[in-house]
Amino acid sequence: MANYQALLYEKQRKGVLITLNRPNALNAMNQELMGELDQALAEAETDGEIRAVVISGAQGAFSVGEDLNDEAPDTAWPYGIPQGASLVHVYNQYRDADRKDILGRQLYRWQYPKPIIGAVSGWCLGAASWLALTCHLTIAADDAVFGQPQVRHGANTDFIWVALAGFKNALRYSLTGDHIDAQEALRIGLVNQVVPQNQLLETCFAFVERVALVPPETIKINLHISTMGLEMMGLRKAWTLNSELAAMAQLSKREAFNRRLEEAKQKGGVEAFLQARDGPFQPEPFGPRAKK
Amino acid sequence: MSEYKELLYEKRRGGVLLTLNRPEAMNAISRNLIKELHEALDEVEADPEIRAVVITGAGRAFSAGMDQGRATGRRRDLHWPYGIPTGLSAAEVIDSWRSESRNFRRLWEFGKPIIGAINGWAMGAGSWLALFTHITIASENAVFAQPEVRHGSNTSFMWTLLGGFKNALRYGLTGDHIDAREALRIGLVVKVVAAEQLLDECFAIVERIALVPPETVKINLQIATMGLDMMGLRDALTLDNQLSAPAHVMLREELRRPLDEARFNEGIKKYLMLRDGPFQPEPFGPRARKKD
Repeated sequence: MANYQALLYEKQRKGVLITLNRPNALNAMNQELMGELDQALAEAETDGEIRAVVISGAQGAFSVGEDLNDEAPDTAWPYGIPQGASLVHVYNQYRDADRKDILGRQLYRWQYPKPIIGAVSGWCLGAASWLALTCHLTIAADDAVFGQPQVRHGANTDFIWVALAGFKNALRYSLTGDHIDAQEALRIGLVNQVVPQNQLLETCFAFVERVALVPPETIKINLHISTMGLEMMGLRKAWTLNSELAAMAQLSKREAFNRRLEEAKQKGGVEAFLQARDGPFQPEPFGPRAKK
Repeated sequence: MSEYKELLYEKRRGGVLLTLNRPEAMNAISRNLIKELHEALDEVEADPEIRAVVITGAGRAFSAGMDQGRATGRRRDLHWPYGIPTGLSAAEVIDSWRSESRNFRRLWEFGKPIIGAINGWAMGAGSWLALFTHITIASENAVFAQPEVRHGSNTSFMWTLLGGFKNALRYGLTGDHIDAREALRIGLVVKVVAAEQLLDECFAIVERIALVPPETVKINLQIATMGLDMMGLRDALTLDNQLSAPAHVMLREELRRPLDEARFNEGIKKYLMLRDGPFQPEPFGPRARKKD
């Protein structure tokens, strides 16, 4: 068994619980964590005792998405790309990174031969929402919050939102990055079920145990009827386009919108950056507090 | 007019009521019943007085699925350790499965609206028949499921198309039952009505359809059905059809043999108890609802 630093790998009840475990960074997805998730899924794939995988996050958050501390160097204005880099270099870099880090991993999980269940409690933002939604099933705790606030500083959404929630709902939330709570996620089809936070893992593993009653080959075929059926219906094409557009989204920084945010980050770190970015959008009209 | 043994054909109120009529076998779909269903559709096609079709089941089931009996269906004793019917080659078995699902595509492509009146159990291929109808109305007694996956069998992509990815997998991977209200929530049916109002509800729709010119109805049916075909549904169903073959060939002796022996020695009831007992109580079935 591999030695993991950024995640927990715990076999239990005919499955395995993989916990994204960077609680100090709200389980933000850095290179180390995503590399280890690849390894952990590969380990679970070859382990005959494991019939399904549950992916969760440590200590009250699923994950806040890509680690903003990993972000690129200073931007040169008015060009909107990193200092000293040519456009072709930057475009190529983003394009290759997206194919490998996002599209490649998404297809690997999508086509995975055992059910992957996302157990979402707390923040589930940006690329972490894509991770949660590309799981075969997604169960939300009542405190879950989904959103893609990265669009506010010039980054792309993912077509999985459209595939699951439908055209209008996906656009309503992804054009603005607005948060939604667990009930709204259930209504639009992002999740299977909403349960109290303290029953989240129990609900997931009760399902794992039901999966374990069905022959493994049958489970695999029936996963593929759904996942590959949607690929045949065009999901694969939509994701291929998505990956190309992701690179372009990274090159869409405008001085009038982005400079203020980047300067806030230089002075006050990620917190100041988030304040500058998200302040104008608060209060979140579909977030958990709005309901109260 | 043809003579039907396993089907009732009753013209009324601008349409026709086709009743799957093998109540002693819960309207299990035998080879003959499929043949008669096609003959009935031929007759409907040629009869301009019939503007729409309503399909329902006699007794307490819509249909329990493909007939499992030896004489009327296509079950044969499996030879171990090969897991294929005695006397057949793997090639013959695979080929026979790949021709199967054409039968329901005819409903999809039919030139007059077909309304499913789901009066009770709609299991396995019975659920597929229900889902392939253009409009589906459920009585409060309806139950939808694909429990055949528990003994090694495939699902249908129609569940993914209508119920959405996550819902289709939640119920398709385990064969878990769902009641009429859950079927309504996820989009398998259009409306849930009291059992005694089911047929009246359906024929009220038939009468409204009869107010619209036939050519217009046909064009508008095709905008939806052929549009989904163009979006990739035909490709997805082709893949589905291909995957149904391995689903039935990849049988594990330790999981399947006890079930077949129970059926041979003690009958279908014992077989079902052995297969479904570990899954009971059904968490989303009608009885689960009454508890909450």
